[in-house]
Amino acid sequence: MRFELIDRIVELASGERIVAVKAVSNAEEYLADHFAAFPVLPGVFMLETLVESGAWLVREAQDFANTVILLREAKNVVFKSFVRPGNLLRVEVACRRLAQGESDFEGVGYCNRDEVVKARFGLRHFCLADRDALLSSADSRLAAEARARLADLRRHPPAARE
Amino acid sequence: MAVSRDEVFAKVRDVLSDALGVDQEEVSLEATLQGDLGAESIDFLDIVFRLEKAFSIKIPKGELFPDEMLNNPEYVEGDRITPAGLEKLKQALPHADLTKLEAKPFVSKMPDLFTVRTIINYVESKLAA
Repeated sequence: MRFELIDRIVELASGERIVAVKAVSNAEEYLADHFAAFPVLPGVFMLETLVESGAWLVREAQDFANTVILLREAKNVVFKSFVRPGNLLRVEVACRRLAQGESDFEGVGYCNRDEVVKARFGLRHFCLADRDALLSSADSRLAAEARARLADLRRHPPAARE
Repeated sequence: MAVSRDEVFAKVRDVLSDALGVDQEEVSLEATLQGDLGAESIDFLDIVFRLEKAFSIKIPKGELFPDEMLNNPEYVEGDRITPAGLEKLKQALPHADLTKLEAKPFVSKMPDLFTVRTIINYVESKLAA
């Protein structure tokens, strides 16, 4: 499974706010068991969509300086409804704090304008060279890939209505 | 040794607080696991394991949280629970209050069945058996 859930970044106010979209498709393998007669995006992936959006905000704001971005904590996570195949999960994530190695966010996910998920979460970021100077070339590669991917995610014009 | 309802509540509150990362104060009797306490499918598995350990009971698959409901097209059609599905829920969850769900049999409403009270009722029935 390719673990990149964001399909499009609709808005990005540097260091402040990001709006992104994840489209849910019947072709996602985990839907076969979640659930066989009622496929829905697992709650953890709704949260992951919020987390990945926060991570993109960090990457852009820090000019891809930190190549590893991990979830540090998640709290007050609320799941209000399901996202079914054929729908878009649109997440709006606001950055509450952005430091070199850590950040905090508040995010809400919508499906057809209904709130489906909310969470507060914190990220931790670092680069591989922080752990081992020999990995700095890996950092360069990861940063370049992330830069290209962000450009691609932002390239498409936003849909007229989502 | 009989376990009082208060003791059951206290242990259930510990289980849910640990499993869902919420404060004990949030675990009120009528709080729903999903809507109020932020549980999602992976958490239900964790809750079952923790309840088994806390109360030394065995919870057969599907007895507390009816897994089969969402995997069987006889019980779920589109976004609604079928009459057969409602029947199955009644049998599977004698400890739950189904009136609201019967009025609006949407799958999205099913998680509201699982309140802290539902869990306590279930555990008490297992302990009494």
